Amino acid sequence: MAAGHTATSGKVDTEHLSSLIDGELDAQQAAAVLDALCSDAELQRRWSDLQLVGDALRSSEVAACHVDGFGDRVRAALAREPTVLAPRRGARPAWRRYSVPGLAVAASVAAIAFVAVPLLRAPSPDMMVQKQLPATAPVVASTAALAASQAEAKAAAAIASARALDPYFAAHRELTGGSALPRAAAYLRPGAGER
Amino acid sequence: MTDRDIDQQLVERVQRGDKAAFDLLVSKYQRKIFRLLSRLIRDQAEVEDIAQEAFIKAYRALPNFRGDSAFYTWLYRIAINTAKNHLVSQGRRAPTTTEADIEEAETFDDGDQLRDLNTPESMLLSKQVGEAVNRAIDQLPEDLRTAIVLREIEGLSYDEIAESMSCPIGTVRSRIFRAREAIAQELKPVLDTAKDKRW
Repeated sequence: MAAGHTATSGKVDTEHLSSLIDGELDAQQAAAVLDALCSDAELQRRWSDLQLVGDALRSSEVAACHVDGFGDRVRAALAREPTVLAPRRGARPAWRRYSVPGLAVAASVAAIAFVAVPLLRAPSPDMMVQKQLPATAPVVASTAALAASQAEAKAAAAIASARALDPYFAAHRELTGGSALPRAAAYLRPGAGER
Repeated sequence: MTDRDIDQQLVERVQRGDKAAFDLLVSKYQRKIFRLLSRLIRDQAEVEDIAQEAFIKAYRALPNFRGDSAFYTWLYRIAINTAKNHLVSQGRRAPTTTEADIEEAETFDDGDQLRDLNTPESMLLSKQVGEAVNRAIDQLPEDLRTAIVLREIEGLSYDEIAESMSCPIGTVRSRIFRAREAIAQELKPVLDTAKDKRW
């Protein structure tokens, strides 16, 4: 068991170990202490002592389970083991991790836009009229009048073409389904009340 | 850095091929693993063998440890499974592990829920350790005693202790360290005398 005060090993002393155990070092300091700890047998012994003290302060039953020499036993067994190495996790830079999915999303949006935008922009008659509307107010009034007269002309043409079809519809009335009894209509005598 | 962060740092060093980092984990957790195994297996020699086997199994499996759970929780499961396999191979009944056991592993509250597996020797040693710790704390100067009690019993951070004791954080760091050294000195003869007589 260790004795005495702050035994310095390089730049790291056992006081740092105590702080490390308490989680009171920042990442950089902790890494430096761990570096020293992994390469210095004396610091490792002090680490072991401080851990034992911590166990004893928290639970005397746990501390009473201390077995001298167990660490040496495990160390000897470990020496016979091949060194384990975890496969390196991909050292991809962070920008690649985020930029590749981002590019995929952007490409999808672009593809949708390429297909959908022309369809959405297909000109409807109303839109064409609107498209012809100039921006300034006085001209808007005159184009509105123009649009109204165009609509009237359109309606008149439709009515005229409908009238032109009247004789045709009259000749084929029994086939048009316009009456409630379309097929029987031809055999009915009109003016039943004339008797 | 939390305790779990430090364990993770050590694990990553082992994964890069540093066996010394694994020694540090062994010296940190060996007593907790002994205490755990002693609940399942009475014979001390068997407990030591199984503890060693569990640590070696953990070392071999460490490349696959991703840190999803705390290292000790992972080690605890390996130790329990090693003990169960041992008991089965001996034709003895293996106890079941419950979620409560896992939670207990997380909180390290070993002392509160002991089974009646304690031998007179282990109870005596435990009592002697407790007395040595109390004696060491009683003999500490007031400022060291306050600092170590606030840290270990109350769980305060160095900042909180510094505020509570109206002193710089460096002084807190030094007082806690010196208190630990004094307790270590008091424990040494107890554990040395008790060698080969525990559990």
